[in-house]
Amino acid sequence: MISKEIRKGLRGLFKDSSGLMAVIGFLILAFYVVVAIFAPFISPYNPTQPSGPSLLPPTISHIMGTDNLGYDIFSRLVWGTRMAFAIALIATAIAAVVGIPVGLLVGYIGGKIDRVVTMIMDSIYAFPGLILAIAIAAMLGPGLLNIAFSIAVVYIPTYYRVIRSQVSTVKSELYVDGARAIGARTSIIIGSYVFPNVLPSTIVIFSMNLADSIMTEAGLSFLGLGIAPPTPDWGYDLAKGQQFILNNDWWMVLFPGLAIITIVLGFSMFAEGLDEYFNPNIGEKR
Amino acid sequence: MNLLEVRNLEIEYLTRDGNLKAVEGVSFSLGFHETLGLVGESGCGKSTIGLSLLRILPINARMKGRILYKEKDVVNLPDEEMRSVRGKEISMIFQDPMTSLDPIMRIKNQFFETFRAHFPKMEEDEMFKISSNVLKSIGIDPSRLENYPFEFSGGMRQRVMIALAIVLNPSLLIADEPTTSLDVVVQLQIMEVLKELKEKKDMSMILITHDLGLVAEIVDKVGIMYAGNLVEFGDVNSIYEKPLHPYTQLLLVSIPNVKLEDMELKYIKGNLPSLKSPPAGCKFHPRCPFAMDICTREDPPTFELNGRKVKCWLYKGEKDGS
Repeated sequence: MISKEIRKGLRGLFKDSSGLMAVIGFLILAFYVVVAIFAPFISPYNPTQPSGPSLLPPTISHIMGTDNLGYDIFSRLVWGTRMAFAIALIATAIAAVVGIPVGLLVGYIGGKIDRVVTMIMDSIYAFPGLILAIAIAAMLGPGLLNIAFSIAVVYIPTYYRVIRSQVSTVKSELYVDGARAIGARTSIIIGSYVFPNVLPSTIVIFSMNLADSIMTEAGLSFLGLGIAPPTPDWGYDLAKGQQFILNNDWWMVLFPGLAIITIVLGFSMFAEGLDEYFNPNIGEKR
Repeated sequence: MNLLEVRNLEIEYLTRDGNLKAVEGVSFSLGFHETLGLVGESGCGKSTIGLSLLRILPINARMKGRILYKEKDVVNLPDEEMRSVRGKEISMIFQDPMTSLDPIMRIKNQFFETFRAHFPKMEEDEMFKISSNVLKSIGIDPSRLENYPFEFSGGMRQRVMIALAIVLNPSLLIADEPTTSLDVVVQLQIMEVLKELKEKKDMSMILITHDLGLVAEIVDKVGIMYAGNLVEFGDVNSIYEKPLHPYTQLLLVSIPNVKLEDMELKYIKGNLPSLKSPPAGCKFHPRCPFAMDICTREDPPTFELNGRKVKCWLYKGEKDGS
């Protein structure tokens, strides 16, 4: 995944200050959250209505210019923030809701079921993420939930693998034997003893996957498999801008691209900072 | 009726490179309010027996034979019934108190889970009251119920473990090397706690240990284990006074004694045999100073002598009273 590479680079940059990294990441995310919430007040124009001449370079009235249909790019980006968050959150939530319980259960039970489910998950994981998402998205057709679902499928194995491997360590801890020895039900053992002990790692994957799914969503929209236009969407805007790049209309690609890069960077920094916070020995190992 | 009756217990671990016989034909019984010490080297199967009594062996373990607890067959009990036995009827203390409490659960909640597992309708107030009393009786201030395990020392944690194990007044407490990972002073304190429990509570105990000296004071009966076999079983005094099995004899002389001038440490030469490919005949014969011809060929049966049991060819044909 791309965000993994980003994380590696970040780790080098912020060697001794993972706290700072998390803070910067958090600030970037906070900025986008504010933008998403207050989109109606921030955006100067209606993002789905022409608001001026087409292909206008950045000016005072249209600070990021307009596209070929005369839509205000700044307004579209502001509204697109909502779409980016919505899809990323829904997709990651679906992936977590499926991947975590399956990983917990299979990891705890082990044996043959473990081998079968792990094989299935590994084969999904081995498939290039974007291509799998494209295939599913093409099958389901456009729409917010469909896109979210096709992205979710790609990220289920990430949860599953991390949770399963953690569970298989935790379940051989003495306190799990202890829980069995006091007569606790299997559901209680998994829910109250095993799950809380593997929870920290899920939080890190969650924020990491948010970054990845924003990239994947932008990729899908770029290919025309995302949200139906004219709903504001960064990937779609980027794809549209790309058609006019030879025309020297740079503003149509630059701003959506910047938006995607910064939000992914924000998530990645936040995830990496969290990761180091929860596993303080990560830096030493490498 | 005995509280616990173990007959011909066999436990195998299925591993990738062959089966491993951890326990082989072990039989013993334990009466009400009796304390048994199971003694042996690491890897002789004593902990496996402890886990099997609660049926919480790892999934690659296979159990055969009979374990009768209050005439109920533990080996074949339905899962749900077995669960209701754990913690309420039979409970267990583990070797390492540093890892046997959930690190991110308040002590209070570890107690509550124990109650909830058996009395789902019990009020929290009542659970809190009982837990406080048990903790107090074991020498820990009840206010510490709000603490997390990392806020306790090793000895305190083991006390908490003991409190957790006895909170529902089980009839049988299994203590799997309860003092092994503690320092000597704390070891003695924990043994004092167990001794007090034995005197005050109507409870039987199985103490699993490799330290014969440590348990001698509290146990009534001793079972000596070697390579998955129970090689000697009998009353603690007679075993100390006149150990029958060569292994027991060697174990007893290898307890260091600082009073003697001869300070050289004695030990049993050789290692435990591999349980995957055990030696033919008696498993102890490669290390046994009295090994005879027959020992290398045939596994000895268990002979009974004056109410004691010993699994050794030396005692073939000896009658009671000899």
